[in-house]
Amino acid sequence: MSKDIVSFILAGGKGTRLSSLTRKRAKPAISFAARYRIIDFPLSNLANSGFDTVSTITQYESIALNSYIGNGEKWGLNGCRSISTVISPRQTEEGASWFFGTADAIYQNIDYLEKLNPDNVLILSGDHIYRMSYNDMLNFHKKRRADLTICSIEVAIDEASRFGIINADKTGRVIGFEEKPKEPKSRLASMGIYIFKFDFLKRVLIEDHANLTSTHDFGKDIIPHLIQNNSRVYTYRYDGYWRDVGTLKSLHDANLDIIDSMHEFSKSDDDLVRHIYTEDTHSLPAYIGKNAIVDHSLINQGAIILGTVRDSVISNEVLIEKGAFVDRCIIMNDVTIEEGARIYDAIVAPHTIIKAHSVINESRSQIILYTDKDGDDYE
Amino acid sequence: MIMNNILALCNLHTAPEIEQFKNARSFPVIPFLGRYVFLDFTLSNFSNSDIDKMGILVRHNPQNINMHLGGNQVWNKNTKTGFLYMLYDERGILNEKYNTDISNLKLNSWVLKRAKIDYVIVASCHYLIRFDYRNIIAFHKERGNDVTMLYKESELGKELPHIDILNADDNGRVKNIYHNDLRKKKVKVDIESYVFSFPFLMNILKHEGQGISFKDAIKLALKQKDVKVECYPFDGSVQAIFDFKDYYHTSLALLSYKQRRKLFSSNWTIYTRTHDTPPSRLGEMSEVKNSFISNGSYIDGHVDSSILARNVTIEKDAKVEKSLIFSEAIIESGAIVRNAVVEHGVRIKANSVLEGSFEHPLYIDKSN
Repeated sequence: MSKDIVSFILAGGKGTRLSSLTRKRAKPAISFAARYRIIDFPLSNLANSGFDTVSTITQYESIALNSYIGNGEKWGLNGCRSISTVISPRQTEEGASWFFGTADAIYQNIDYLEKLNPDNVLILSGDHIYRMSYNDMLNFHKKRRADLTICSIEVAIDEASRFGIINADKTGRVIGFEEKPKEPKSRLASMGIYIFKFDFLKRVLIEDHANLTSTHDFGKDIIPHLIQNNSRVYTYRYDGYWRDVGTLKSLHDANLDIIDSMHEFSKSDDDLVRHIYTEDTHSLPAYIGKNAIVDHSLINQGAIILGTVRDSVISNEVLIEKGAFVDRCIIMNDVTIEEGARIYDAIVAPHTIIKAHSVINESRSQIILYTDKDGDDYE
Repeated sequence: MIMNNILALCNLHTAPEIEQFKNARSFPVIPFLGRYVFLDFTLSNFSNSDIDKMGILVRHNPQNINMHLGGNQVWNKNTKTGFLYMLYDERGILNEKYNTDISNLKLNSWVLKRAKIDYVIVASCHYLIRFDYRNIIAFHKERGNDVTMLYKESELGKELPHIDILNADDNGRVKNIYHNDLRKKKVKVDIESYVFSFPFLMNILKHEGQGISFKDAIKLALKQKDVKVECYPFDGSVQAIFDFKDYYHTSLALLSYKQRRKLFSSNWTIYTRTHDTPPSRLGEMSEVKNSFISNGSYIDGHVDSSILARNVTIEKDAKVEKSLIFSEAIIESGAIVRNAVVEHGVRIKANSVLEGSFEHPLYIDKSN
């Protein structure tokens, strides 16, 4: 068996800055845009790109994510020549070990990759919101005869120190790379999307594994090392919408952004980005009540709105009772907001009940996460 | 636990033909409440009753149904041991006289042999009900019946011209079945869900000729003393759809939470095909009241007491009232649509006015 390209989605991280949202689920399993989970975006991108061999690497609180991904059916990745696997740390002849970093997670699965023996390996992060066909990037990678191609995007200079920053020449050859620099030299940020030549990747990972000072991370260790060694590292520029939703604020912002942009895509003629596939909750269509007011919001099926909703994102099976007021909020699935309650600038965790007439975050001094328990269940 | 000794068939041979939809779609795939079709309710009743061997007796337009079923793994619990077959008789489709449910099943009797079953359920999809078939199966077994017929007790016997009525003795034994003559107020309505014991069904298929229906066969069986046909009461709510007006009125009535709860329940999922459409966007200028909004809709205008299907666009200053808007339709800015049913993909031009009445709703397809 030999595959042209095999894809990995790194979905093992906790997402510590998302507070109790990630207590019982990994970040890629978090709800987004009223209907989706974050990981629907990379998985749908892969499906739309026609990439048929996908492994999702999980580690932190993996039950919710593993059962959600299943056999890949939700994204059509259960077809006859497709292979969809979920890979978690395992016990082997050499013993048992956690994944100690993004590069280590791939290193520990080199045996699996050898069996598939692909020409190239695509490595993605499971927690970014964007729509993209990976075909153009792969063509670029082949044309440049690159050992590694890193997908990059221009970011605002004041945000640049949050990312891996790339310095490239006119042909796209990367001549400098700094992970989270204090004083960024360029605005070109790595999106954490890599295409490696498989043989090259294998050699690099084995070397990195033997290096006792390495933290086994692509951004921190592998890429700076490769540039030092003058390997053929190129960057492919992406100029669409892309968000890293690592904090409550960025998760809130990205959700509000999508109220308007979601439909631009779904009306697009470009089949490669038109659909984001996801689970169907088998809900009734949304019901908007006789006295409800809904102003500039995204409403998913299964929601029942009897109160007022403004600039918000409302997921399935959410009930907003009469007299309740929701302003600039992201309401995740199965939340009830009881009569007369008011809530501002918040993300409300799944299955939360907001008691009648309570007032939450009226000062709006920052975006808050509201939950009525320490963390919700596996759903 | 899955009941593997039961085969459930959705019978489309007895479904009414709705004049307005005749060219566009057959009854089982008429859109309902924005995201469903009628067929979904019957199949979901089977599925929720833990029945996993299913078939659809198709009378005509198999391509319509095929499209809706897609990969058809939505209704099955176990996709290996369970199945959902489309059964139809191509010769019957060419010759309407012989296009009956029994002729169909005769031709497709392989499914009965393959399925290894003790009971067969035959159910219609134009009586919308939420029903657990495990109850009628238990009754059927306990009574040792050959046939058990589901009925609904109704006080509206004088107002329902389309129905058949069961006449049963005090022990529930069915004496005869007749078409409603509108003479009696209190009647037992035959809601066309039957349970057959397997040997009895095989006997019918063996001995009855082409061109008769299950109901004809039951009527004939009532004349034989050794055949036991009993009826079983349905105590839930029934929505019967026979014509365009029924369809329109039933749809709008379900906007009421009280009515809706009779058909939907959180422990009785209605399964249907998903289209992966994004959530709906309601814009700054939109005003939506008392309406169902399916996913993918983009609303900047006014919507009142209406049902919008998938990917509908309502532009600024457009007004939609007491209407059913099918998928992909576009109501342009300033247009007014009242008491109407707007077909799939229809574009209503800006500032036009299309108005029916509650008693005579307007049907708008691409031809007008």
